[in-house]
Amino acid sequence: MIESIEIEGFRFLRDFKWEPKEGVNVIVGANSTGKSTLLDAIELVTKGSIRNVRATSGISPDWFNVDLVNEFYESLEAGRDCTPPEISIVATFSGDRALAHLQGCHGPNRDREDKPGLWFRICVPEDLRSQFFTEVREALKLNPHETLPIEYYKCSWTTFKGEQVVRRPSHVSCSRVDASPEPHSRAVDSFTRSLIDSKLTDEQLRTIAGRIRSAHSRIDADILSTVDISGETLPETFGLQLDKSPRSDWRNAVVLEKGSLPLSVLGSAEQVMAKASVSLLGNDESPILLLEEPECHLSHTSLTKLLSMIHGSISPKQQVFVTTHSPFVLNRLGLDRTFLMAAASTPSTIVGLSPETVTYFKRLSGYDTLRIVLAEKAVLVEGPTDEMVFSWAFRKLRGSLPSERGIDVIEYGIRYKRAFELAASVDRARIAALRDNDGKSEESWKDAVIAFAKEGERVLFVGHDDEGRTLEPQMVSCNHGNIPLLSTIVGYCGDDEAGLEQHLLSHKTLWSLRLLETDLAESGKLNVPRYIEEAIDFIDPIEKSLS
Amino acid sequence: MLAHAVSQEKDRSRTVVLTYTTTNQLEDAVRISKVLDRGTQIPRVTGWCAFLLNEIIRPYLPTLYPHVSLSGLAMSEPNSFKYLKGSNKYFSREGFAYPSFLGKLAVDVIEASKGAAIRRLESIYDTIYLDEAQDIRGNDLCVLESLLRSSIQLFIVLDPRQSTLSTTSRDTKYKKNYKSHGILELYRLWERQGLLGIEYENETRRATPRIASFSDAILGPNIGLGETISNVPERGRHDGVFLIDRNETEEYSEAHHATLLAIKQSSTYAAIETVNFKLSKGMTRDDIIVVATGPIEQFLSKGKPLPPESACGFYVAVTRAKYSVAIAVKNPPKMLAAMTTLPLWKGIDIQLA
Repeated sequence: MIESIEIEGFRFLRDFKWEPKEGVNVIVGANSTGKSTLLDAIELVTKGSIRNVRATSGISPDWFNVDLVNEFYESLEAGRDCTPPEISIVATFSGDRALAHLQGCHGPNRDREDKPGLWFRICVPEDLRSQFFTEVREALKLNPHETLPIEYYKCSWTTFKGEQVVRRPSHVSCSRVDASPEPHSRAVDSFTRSLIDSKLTDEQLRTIAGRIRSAHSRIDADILSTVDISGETLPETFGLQLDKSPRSDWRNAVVLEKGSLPLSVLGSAEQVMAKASVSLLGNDESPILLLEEPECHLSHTSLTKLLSMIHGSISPKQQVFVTTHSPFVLNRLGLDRTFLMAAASTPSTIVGLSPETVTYFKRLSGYDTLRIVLAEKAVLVEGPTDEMVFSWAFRKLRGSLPSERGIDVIEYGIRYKRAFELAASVDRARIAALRDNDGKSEESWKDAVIAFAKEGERVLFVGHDDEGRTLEPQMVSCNHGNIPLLSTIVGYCGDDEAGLEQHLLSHKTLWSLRLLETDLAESGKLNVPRYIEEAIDFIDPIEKSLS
Repeated sequence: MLAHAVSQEKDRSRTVVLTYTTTNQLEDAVRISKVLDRGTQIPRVTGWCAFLLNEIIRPYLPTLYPHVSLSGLAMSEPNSFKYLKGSNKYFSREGFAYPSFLGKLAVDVIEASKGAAIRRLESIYDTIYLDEAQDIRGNDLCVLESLLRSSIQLFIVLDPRQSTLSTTSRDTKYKKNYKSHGILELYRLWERQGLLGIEYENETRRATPRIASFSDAILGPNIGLGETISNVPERGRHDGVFLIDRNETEEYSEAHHATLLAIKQSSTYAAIETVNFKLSKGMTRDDIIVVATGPIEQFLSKGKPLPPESACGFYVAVTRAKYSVAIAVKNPPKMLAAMTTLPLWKGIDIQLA
């Protein structure tokens, strides 16, 4: 298994260090945080290719980290000493004696304890440096936004033992299953091709080639050579023969099949399942499976099947890397195996989650776990009424909707305690939870979450004791002097507080919707219940919003 | 024997067979693949030098000489190592390692890596077979000792009487005390230290009894290996040890389909096949001609002992034969007369061809 991976200067990942776990690793993060870059890097260092394109032919200027490239050109313009931007990907392995042949101390840091490892680099060789600098300096004069002249770069792929990797390192295998929008046939074909290369012995390859060669020559001799095409607009005496160029390589004609139907006529779910299971189960080496956003191209049922297959078949030797935006995938594969990627930085793990909480979220597969994990700022409310009232209050006090200020309002019932635990384990979100006091003291509710609450980070706001059991009486009591306006807005014909409260309680979502939809010039005259205002001040401090 | 043992290995991917010469690598590989079923994993057979270079030196060279970029094994060596210092003693400017000091380099790398080089081997291999180990000399023996002290199981096969080659002639480690077939004494020392156990295999599966007892006489009883036992039946025509005239090798070779072995420049002799002593190791032929050198003639006729290396060379040459050995001498009848008077050849059947 991959014990550690270090990525430098590759796309989003400028300086990235990570120690994945054995078994399943779930990687979540917003878009453009480098999730795909991470999978690409794993492919590069284990296979020397990305999506079956060899690095040597696929290398392009956008592989280089933009900041590094810009800094390089800035230093160059300023006349400072600088080295050409480089890409370096280092993977070390552990847990498998079969990988000991990759061991030695030829890693990037030679003082470090020796390990089995692979090092993939794209850099300008020493002997081309001066030429490289001449070229970039010349180009810079003509165009200030120059791209790197990649023709000076060379790929170097070595083991820690100190040997160049030629084809692929033995006992390391990596398969990628993704949802890239290329035609399915191509993905499957190249997948099958990579299977041929990794699964068939040299002897088998030679046997097949030999038989095809003899079949070809028999067809040529017995049939094609007898066909007369003279006079068919061709100037000379041409004949026909089978193509023997690499274009007609038999490898391109091998496809996966199931029940004697070729995989290409089966659905995409079948294809993903096939790829995933072939690489997980049909491999006695230490396979690495890269699974990119499986939720994108699978129905719920197929996704469940795939996830339980991964869950059920994975052995300690194997490693699966899953990127996902789906809380379902996340919950199913286990929150304790989740790594969070924030803007190209090293992923943080979800640590210290109690096993019960992990099990809890696994059961609640559809739940919006990800929103809590990913949100910079989240407000947990009990239900739809609370959500709408909060949004109204926020707009009144801040002039915009919560989402416009990066605040995710999530209906979470009264399960905020689990959410606090989850947020505590990630240690990054600022979370407010709102609840009614339901006739119990504010303090008793706060005491119940004391283990996971934290001043300034995770705070529970409870409707104040003397201002009503639930949101509706709170709303009525804080607008004591404005009952007619509140009544008009929510559509209650009357001006008695008890009747209004009863109306609100029996038209729960409706009144809050009307409140939210009424023009702020009107509804803005109403007061906000105190605990909601406090929650807004906490989640979006006023100093900040003024500035 | 080695091939059979290898075929019994549980995990052949964790087994490696090492030997010094390329002839032996080939012979061992063929023998092992014959014993094994088709389609099963065949263990790696590799050369001793390649093993030192790629599995010990290369992975940990940066711990000793961080600035040397290792290219491979050098094809030629400097005439003198006397004035070479530091890494220049071990590598050419292009990073090719000199074979003569490969053993010393490996020993230094193991030390510089604080034993990591051996630990790495322990995680790759369960068993190492070392064939023709009498060739392992100089500091290569120290590497061997490190391997013996590791958790890897070692099977070492050697015939000290065949000490005609050396992994290093310039490395003087152990040279004085364990010269030529005297190397057995080092293994006996290791046995006393508990590093290994020695089993003596006195039965030959190649030579017939008459050739076996003649070859035993070449090194004498002092080596302490006992008498060679042979149960190989004679074929019933032209069996045994013969003396022939040096000028008649061509006719004899053609008549008996015999291969001619000479200490050097064997190709200058006329015969259907000619091989130098040193290269003949590991070879088997039914009929052999051995061209006697001056010292060999002296040894045969007067019993004047051969220097250890020459004795081993002569021994190797004679033991290539299965059924017949013809010693090509200046004057066969006179030689036979001299030999019959010597107690050394008593009871050994030698005929004129």
